[in-house]
Amino acid sequence: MMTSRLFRRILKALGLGAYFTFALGPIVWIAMMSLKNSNDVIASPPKFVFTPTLENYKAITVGLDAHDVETARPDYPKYFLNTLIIASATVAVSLLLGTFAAYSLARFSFRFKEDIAFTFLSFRFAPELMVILPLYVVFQKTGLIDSFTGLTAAYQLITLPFLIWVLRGFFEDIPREIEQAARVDGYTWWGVFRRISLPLVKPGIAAVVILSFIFAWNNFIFAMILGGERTQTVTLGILGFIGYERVLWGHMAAATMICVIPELILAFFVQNYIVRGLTFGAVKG
Amino acid sequence: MPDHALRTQRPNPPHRGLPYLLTLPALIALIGILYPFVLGVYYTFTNYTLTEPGNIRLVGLANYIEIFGNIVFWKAFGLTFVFAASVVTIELVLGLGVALLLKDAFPGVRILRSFLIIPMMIPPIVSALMWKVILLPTNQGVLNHILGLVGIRPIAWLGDSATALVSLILIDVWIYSPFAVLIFMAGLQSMPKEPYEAAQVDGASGWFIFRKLTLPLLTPSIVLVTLFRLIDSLKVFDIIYATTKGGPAGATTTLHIQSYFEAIRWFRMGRGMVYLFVLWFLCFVFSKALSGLWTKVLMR
Amino acid sequence: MADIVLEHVRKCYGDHEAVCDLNLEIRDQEFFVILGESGAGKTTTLKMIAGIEPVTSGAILLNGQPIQNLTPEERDCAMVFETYALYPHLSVYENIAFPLRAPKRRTTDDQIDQAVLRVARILGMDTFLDRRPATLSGGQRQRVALGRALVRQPAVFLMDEPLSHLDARLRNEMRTEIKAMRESFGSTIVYVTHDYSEALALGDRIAIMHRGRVEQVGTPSQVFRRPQNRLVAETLGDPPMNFLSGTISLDQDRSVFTNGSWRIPLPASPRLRRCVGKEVCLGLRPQHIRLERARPDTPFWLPSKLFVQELLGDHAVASVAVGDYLFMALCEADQAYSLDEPLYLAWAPEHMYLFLEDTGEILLAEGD
Repeated sequence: MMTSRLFRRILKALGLGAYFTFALGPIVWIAMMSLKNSNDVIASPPKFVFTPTLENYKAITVGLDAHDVETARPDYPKYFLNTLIIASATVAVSLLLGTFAAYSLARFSFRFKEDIAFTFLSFRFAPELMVILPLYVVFQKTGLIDSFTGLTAAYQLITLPFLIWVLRGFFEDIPREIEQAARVDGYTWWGVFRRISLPLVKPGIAAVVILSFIFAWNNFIFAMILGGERTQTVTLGILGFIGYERVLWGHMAAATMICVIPELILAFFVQNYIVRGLTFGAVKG
Repeated sequence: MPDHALRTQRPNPPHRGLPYLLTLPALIALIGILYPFVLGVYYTFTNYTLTEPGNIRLVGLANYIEIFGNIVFWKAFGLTFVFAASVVTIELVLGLGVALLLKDAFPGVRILRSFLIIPMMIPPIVSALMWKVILLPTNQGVLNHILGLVGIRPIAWLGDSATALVSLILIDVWIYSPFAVLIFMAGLQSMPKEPYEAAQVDGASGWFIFRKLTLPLLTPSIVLVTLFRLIDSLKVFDIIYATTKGGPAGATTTLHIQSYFEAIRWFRMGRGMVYLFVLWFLCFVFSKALSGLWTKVLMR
Repeated sequence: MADIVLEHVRKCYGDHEAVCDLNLEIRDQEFFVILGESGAGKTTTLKMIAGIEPVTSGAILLNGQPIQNLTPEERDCAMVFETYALYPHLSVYENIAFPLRAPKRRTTDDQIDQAVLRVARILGMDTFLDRRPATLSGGQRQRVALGRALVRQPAVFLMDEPLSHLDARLRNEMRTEIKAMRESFGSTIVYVTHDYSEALALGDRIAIMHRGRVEQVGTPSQVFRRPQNRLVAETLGDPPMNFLSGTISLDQDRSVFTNGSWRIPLPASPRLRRCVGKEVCLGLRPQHIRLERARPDTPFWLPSKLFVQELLGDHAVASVAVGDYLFMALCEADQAYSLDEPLYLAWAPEHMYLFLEDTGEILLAEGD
């Protein structure tokens, strides 16, 4: 005779099991797909049991086909590298510009402060094309289309407001008296910032850097409209596996796994700050 | 949006210009962004076509009148709202449900949470492509295959105008329901224990406690989830572009997608910006209202 | 040399006036205490001297030079914060060394080492120099805060209620230590507290602040024996002074304190004569009250009934009802009274205080 408590626990476990199957199932399926050969991958009905092969991975990274014969040079590594460059550059620039702005918003009182802060925030809630399309026109005229510089600049829209708002919260968490003590001890605002404030928000900066990197990496629409051949990112590259004539499902799956696994590893390290990051600092989580 | 202490005690900056100097670089970035926005609004009043960049002429409200008078616009408008409303409702309910299941700390919560964030960390366009594979029509798609095991005939999820929007809702829920779960988990964690203990001593039933105690205490979380999800789903793009590109037959053409067609496919920048301006306005109004509500609810 | 002068200093936070028209003179190497309850403006005053808070108006002079527009790092002050404000990411050694490492000071590593170890020895911190503040007890953190200020040998030492977060016994220990160390400071000390016994024990002179204003400045003896107004009299003393309202009337050409049927003769003084007819307050300190069972033969007594008696080990505090008023008196520990016992509350005339009811101004003080 089951107690109602046990019954409830079983229901709970079933509920969670169902949800997590839903959440993780598709990824597991794609992972399996990435290990299927070109016949298994389009098998109808789909195969759950198969012999795994690395041919997809080999094809998109080093250009070896199923029989380890060299084929045309794959573009995927180039997309990966491009995305790495753009995301890293974007985050570096945002960090440089945003850390000071965040500190300023956290510590000082000045006219238009909350207006400026709100304007930064408003980009989180604006439709991307609203800014991208006119930017496209501007970039055309200034030759910034399909350039790393142009994309890094445009990507600031994604990372800079985020970085400023979340870092602002971290700076505000430092007790004022500690910074005041450092001033009295003989340091200028810059000395205090460098030796006290920055070290104390190090974990926050690490979290924000990782999350910004992920957000920049995941972007599609900026890269599609403002990018081009030279700067093509993985998000565009993966879309490219779906051609008009044929779809390379296996390659697409392998590309997805290569794109996604590093991100998931990074995300694991910031999980303590994930709520704070996703809500732009509204919830300390 | 963070809750700032209302202390008026704020030291003035060492030099009056310092804060401006510090925010200046970010401010310049800001202006760099504001300029395109203003430019975009300007374009709505022109006949700007990308194929004839030199031939730009002000046409006043002609674009607006034409677009607002066309059923295509209103269909997109309606679809945008239907999608957003469905997605937000489902994610709120599902998010709260899963958060409640995860509430009682048991070993493994941390691991489950790290699994939870996975769908959100994948590029949305990649997730959408993943689902495109799973939702393949005929028995090739694994979802149809599984449904076939219980006797349901294969459905052309993304290819049938009746199910296309539903499929997109499914994909969005898959990607973003973890967000709701995380917010509610944080909300549930920070709830005070005493009212619950008092209610239990008073002999209140579980459902009553939930309705009268838990839900009201979770109001800030509900508002926050609604704020982020409503705005993001109003301006959804990646998911639709990866799968249906607005089809079939306009069944999934939202305002954002339609603006893309107008401007990039048909080069009609002026018209495209009109769609975007309307969408921007919707997002602006809702974000202001909801964040104001959140601040108010938080202060209570 | 470090004397501090505050001239007409005012501090406003928006509409709220935290400090109004403050004028203080602090002498070189003086241990100057600012006493007051929370919200009195004492911490604000300290922060203005340090430069952490800007003055709304007025001047602060150090050795005659105005410093109110200088940044904190440009003033030669050291401060011990109420919450200690230690640097969480630095070890105790580095916390103490921090002021010396400021770029403008150009101290060599050897000099720093010497200074830090010297201070650590004085304050008994040798054993935990490499630990982080989070791992220290309250008392240890307090020493680090003190050490950080000491290591610089500044012109001015500012202390913001440094002992208020310590438990009672530690507080008394540290108080004695601070008093003993005072000689080796060699600086002017401005010490803020809400604890009157700390103020009386440590200060050369005390300034009592209330609601942003200075009520009186004087030596401990002066402010205790001759408070300028009721507020100062109430602040100093625990249990606080007892008050009884009444009026000054004339009885056969002598001034008399009256309340209902009670009449207490007052000493002859032209000042008191001028205040005939005014509402006044009679003040008696608990330690000056004797509770007698037999009626005293002097006219300085009031009828009372025992309300409650608290035995506190070596002495007792008796609360007696005098009409509608409750008076507290200190008595011997072995003197036990019974509930509602009628007693005569008596005192010596030289221990009587009289204050004006409306302004609180003193009319009669100890020894008059």
